[in-house]
Amino acid sequence: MDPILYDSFDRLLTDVSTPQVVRDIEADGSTQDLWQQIIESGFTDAMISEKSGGAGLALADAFSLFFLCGRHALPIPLAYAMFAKHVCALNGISAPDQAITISPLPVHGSGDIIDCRNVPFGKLAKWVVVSHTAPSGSHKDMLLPVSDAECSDTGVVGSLQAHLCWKKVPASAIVLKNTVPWLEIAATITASLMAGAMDSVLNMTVGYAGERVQFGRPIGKFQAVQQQLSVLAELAVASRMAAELGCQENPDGTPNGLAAAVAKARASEAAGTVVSIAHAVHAAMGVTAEYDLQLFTRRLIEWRTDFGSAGYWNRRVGDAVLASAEPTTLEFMLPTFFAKSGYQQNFD
Amino acid sequence: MLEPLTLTGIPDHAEALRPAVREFVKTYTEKVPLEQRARSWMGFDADFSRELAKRGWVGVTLPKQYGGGGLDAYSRFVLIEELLGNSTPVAAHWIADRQSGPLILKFGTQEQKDFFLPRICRAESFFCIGMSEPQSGSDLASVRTRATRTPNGWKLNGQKIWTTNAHRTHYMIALVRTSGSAEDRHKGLSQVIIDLSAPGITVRQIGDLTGDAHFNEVFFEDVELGEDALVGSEGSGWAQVTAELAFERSGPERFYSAIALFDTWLNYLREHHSGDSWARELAGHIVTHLAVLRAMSVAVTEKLAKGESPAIAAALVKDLGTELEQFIPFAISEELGRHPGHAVPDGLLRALAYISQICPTYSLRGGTREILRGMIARGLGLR
Repeated sequence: MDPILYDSFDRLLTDVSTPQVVRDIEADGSTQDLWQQIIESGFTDAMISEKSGGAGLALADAFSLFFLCGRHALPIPLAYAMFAKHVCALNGISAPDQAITISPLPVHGSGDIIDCRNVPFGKLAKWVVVSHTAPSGSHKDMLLPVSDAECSDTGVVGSLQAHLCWKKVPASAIVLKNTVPWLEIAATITASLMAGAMDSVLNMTVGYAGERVQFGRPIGKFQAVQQQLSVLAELAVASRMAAELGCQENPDGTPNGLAAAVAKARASEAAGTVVSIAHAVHAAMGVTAEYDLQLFTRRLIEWRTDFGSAGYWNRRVGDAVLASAEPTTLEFMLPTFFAKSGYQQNFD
Repeated sequence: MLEPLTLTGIPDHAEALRPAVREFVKTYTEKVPLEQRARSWMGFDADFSRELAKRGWVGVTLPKQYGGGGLDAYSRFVLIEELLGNSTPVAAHWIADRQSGPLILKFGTQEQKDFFLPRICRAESFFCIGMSEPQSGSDLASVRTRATRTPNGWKLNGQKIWTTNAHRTHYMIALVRTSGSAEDRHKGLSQVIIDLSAPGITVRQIGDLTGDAHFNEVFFEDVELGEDALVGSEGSGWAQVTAELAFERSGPERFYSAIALFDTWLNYLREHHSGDSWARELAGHIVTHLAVLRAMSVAVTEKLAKGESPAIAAALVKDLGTELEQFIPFAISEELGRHPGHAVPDGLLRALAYISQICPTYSLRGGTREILRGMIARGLGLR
């Protein structure tokens, strides 16, 4: 990714997604100012083709932006909206410049009712991408307006998730004829958010260990603490690499579903250990509402199950491996995860 | 803070090497039983190494003028990924190819390069590394084996231990003290090349729990070394050894060591209805980890190719990689044991037993977990 773009987005989020803004939005859901600032920056259109007025970033390029959204605990679904707007543009639809989130799997067997549980950012989204299979068996990917849904709180303090339920497909639904594997896309974007959040958790935890003094020296000087922080660093680095891998397209430009599976499985597995080490090092301070660590660890805990947990995605990869006729794992892995296209930009 | 690892591709010129290597290794893997291949890069087969050398695949990163391939770190990555991903016995030339050759190229005299490098590339000269001593393991700077000046060179006295393959290699590159005492730590250490056939050297094999004997004790009693035994400059041994370690810690040998077992288990599952839900999830878990490790390893290779010495990133790959290598036998034995009464092929069980027994060494060789995590902590600015 272009370092200038990366830095400018990082600076923007440093300014607009401060811990206070995150707390305010979690308290009252009012995102108007933040959205306005992001829209003015143009980043909502980052993945729309240049021809259609966007910046034309591929998923692989946008990875870094998703990562930064997670690193700043951005309390709006910008990462999902970027991708949804791109798919709308592919369909010739100019998507509303409003918060769009993704909820590909409504509850099974609800008849005409579209019942989306624990929709990430559901409390403040205006639109939701839903994959709906009608009782007739017909399948549609659609953008549904939240204004037509029954919205209920999950009851989890600070969470931006909500349950959203449509009695039937509303007339204002926007149908996406040309579509994408939404679950895989949402999973790898979420893995990227997680990697960003882990990066912040690592920085905060290493910083705290360098300041907090016990037994006459910073706790980060004790080997037992150092070893824990090293494990945290390993997991943060591995999750970032996994998420970047998950955002690589296939040679034909379509998203790579199995790479996305790797991303979400690895990040979700790592999140548990990352959170527990960070809190262990911070001790009681880390679980206070006032200290910023919780802004990240609460998200990591939520995100690790959003769009499928480690077990779900490992199973998907396992099914693919076992269905493969390749005699060795190496011969399975290279074409599946490391096909050339999408890496070319790194060659020069 | 740590510098992030960025996904990077393997350039075409390096990928171009893959098909020929794969074709060659397949002719080997077809005729060798699994439990032998399970030894991975601990498998020693001098004939196999010479076959590779004939094809130009030993010393690929060494310059052509010395008989090397003149290729870059990416090419070597592709080569060893195929060799290790298919579990071939590379131990005979492994150390010379990975460490000794590059070390001599970087620090050696012209005479040393002219003498050793062509022999390494022809797989005629095999090397081992003399690091650990009875009282110096992780605390490597405390080595006591000493080379003292003589009118014609050096006289070597002391003892090395846990020296892999000292009994079947030709040369050892040892870290020894050339001045000061153990209290001087990193100062006064040097690297010397020792011809293992020289008088005064006794090599004694140490059997391991699997029935193999790859480790050795090596005793030096007034061993006369020539003036030209010194590699690099006197007193720079510690810096030279540290530079080597980035090559040693980040490669595919840190995550493919148990791959023959894993592949055989997968094939066993495929023949038996592809396993239950738990087995399938487990298979996926291992593959997702492998994919990420492989991506990280390529990213470290990029740094090596640029001439950097990414010691901390390499430590990180090794710690995570060996964790997976040790998880594989544990997980497979757990899975197979969930179905008492199923007939599991003996070969699979023998490979499983071997790897289960030997895998604790995966996180010892090349630096223990604790040492690696200490290095990462230093990278984080904590020490």
